Amino acid sequence: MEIISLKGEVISHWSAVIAYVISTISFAISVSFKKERTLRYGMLFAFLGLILHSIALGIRWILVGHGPYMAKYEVLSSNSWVAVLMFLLVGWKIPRLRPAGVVVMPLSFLMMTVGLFTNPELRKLPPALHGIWLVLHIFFNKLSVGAIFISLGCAILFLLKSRYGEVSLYRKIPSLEVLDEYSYRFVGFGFIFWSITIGAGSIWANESWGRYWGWDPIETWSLITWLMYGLYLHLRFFFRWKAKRAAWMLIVCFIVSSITLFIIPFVIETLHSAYFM
Amino acid sequence: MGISRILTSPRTIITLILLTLFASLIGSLIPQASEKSPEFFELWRQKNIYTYRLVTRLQLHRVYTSYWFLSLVVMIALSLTLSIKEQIRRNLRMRIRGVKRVDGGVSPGSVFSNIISIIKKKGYKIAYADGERALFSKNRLGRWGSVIFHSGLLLIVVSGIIVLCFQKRGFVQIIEGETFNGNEDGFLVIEKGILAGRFDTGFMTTLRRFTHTYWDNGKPRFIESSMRINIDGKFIDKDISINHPAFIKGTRIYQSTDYGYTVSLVLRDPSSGLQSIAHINLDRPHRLGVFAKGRTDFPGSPYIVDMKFLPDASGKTFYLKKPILYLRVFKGSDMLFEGLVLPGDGVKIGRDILYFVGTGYWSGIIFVKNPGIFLAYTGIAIGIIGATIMFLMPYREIKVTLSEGQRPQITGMSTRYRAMFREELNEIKREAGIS
Repeated sequence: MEIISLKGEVISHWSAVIAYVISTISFAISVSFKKERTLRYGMLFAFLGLILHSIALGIRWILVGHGPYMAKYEVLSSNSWVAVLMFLLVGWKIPRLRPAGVVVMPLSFLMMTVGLFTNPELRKLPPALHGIWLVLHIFFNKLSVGAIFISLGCAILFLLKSRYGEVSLYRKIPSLEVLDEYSYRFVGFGFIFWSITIGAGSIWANESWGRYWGWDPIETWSLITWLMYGLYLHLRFFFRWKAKRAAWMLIVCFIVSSITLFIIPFVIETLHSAYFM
Repeated sequence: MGISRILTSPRTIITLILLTLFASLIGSLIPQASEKSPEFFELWRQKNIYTYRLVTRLQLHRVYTSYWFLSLVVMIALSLTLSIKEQIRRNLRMRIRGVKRVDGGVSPGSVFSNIISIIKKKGYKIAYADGERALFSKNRLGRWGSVIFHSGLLLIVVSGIIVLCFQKRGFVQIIEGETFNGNEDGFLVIEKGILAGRFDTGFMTTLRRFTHTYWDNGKPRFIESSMRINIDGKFIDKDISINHPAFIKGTRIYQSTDYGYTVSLVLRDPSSGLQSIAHINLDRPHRLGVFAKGRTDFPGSPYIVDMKFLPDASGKTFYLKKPILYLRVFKGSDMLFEGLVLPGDGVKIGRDILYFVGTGYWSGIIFVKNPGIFLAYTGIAIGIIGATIMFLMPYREIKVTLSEGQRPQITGMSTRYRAMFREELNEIKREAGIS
């Protein structure tokens, strides 16, 4: 039974990857050749991929008996799932932001693919990885990943629109000013979610290890990322950093958050990586 | 006044953020004394005396307890305090103008009442209205988001300072059946804040039983220490497991993930009849079938014991079933004994006999006194609430003015997302047919 379920998981996972790839290509064609119609295919395949991805994650959840946050494979896959879900929700509520899929979809698909090449073994939960604070910590971390991706998407759309001007597809997306504010707004979301991630993580650390901050490498990098986004928000507020300058600053913030999310826990020996490595 | 202006100036705030970023990067990139052994730093000193001197003089190897970092934290606390004060003053000054005369003088069915209903539908509340003017506001709490967020941040920073100054934290290995007297000298590892006094828990702790279970793949599933606490002759039983600490007399007691086996050896001199006992703690190996290893001096003797231990000879369990000990005994560089011993066995070492008398478990227990924790938790909660208010509930005002013979004027202000707000205003104008 377990083998059949595992096969089901692998098939749905790979099918989701294929759907995300098609979605990415559609978004790329749409944005590069300013074709509005292919946007629809991008959204459709993203949605289809999400359904298949949900099935894969659901099977795994049942098999391992815990949420997808133990192995690298699970962490990357679930991060990607949340990012796609958030993007689809945003695309549904604010259709003008759909072209941001050109950034969100490839990043999500890349995350998922990297996860597929890591050890997908079924791992059981160690005693420290229990409790509501851990669940909150992980949940908000994934939400912050989604918000960061979308804010980056808006920033890149801003740069594209400011370069190509008001031609065909770019006419349909929000004005430069509004795009800039959308990226600001999603940074705001990301900042809140990241703060909750750090807060819940601190409380969990205190319950598990008797200290709420220990300057562990991942804690430090998490703080560095939080400070980077804090710097971005303050620069906008105090020095009216907007438009291109803000978009480039956001790209730098994204690079720092990528180091925190995808490099530090998997490369450096930290309390977090004790079970991931 | 001058200092206050400097500490709340945008440039200072950006500089403080950049300095904290810089400090965190240094702490992350340069090996820290809290993570590395003294041998590591000695080797560094021998290899490159100049960089070592530079790093130690600037305290870059212990960033988070350095004087410059402490000064930075104090500066941040001061800046936050003054900024909060300034923001409160500004907000109080900005209190919504006018007396509430809701909908007074607006005739139903007029252009004005139409605009009012459009704006109300968008979630705005009317603050003032007469026949010619109306003022609407949304998210009045939004103006306080920044104050609330920064107050939470201030509490966290203050709690950090308290921890740095007064926290006491000690780790001890307690053998099943043994008692830890709670005195500072009994801790194996101790960390104290720069102003913290002695760390005596004020109670004794006996490990009655140690429980550990595993998943099929050999990874720990559950670790628990059943303790008996003796507070001045009054006994309390507590089970402490990971994520479930106990709280006794202001001290939190945590189960550590460190635990292992205790090998008890007795050294006997047959001629004098004198004997000494040693309980040697070995860390649990992380995989099944792997030996727990240890090498130590045998107390009160010239011997060094080198051990490889399996809790079960089959190597298929972490539980103590049929333990075996591969023992080597040295005196200086001479090896006096090498071989397998079972519980109860005695081996001859020179004129003495060394007995392997028993085995047991030891459990790692952490005792923590942290006076700043409540403040930190409060700060986290307040900070998150503040950030949510700040970014999700921007304060907005819309003013509608109706002058005779002219089209109604709709203007407004928003604390954040002004371009989006402008779009909203345009939409209102469109809906009201005045764009």
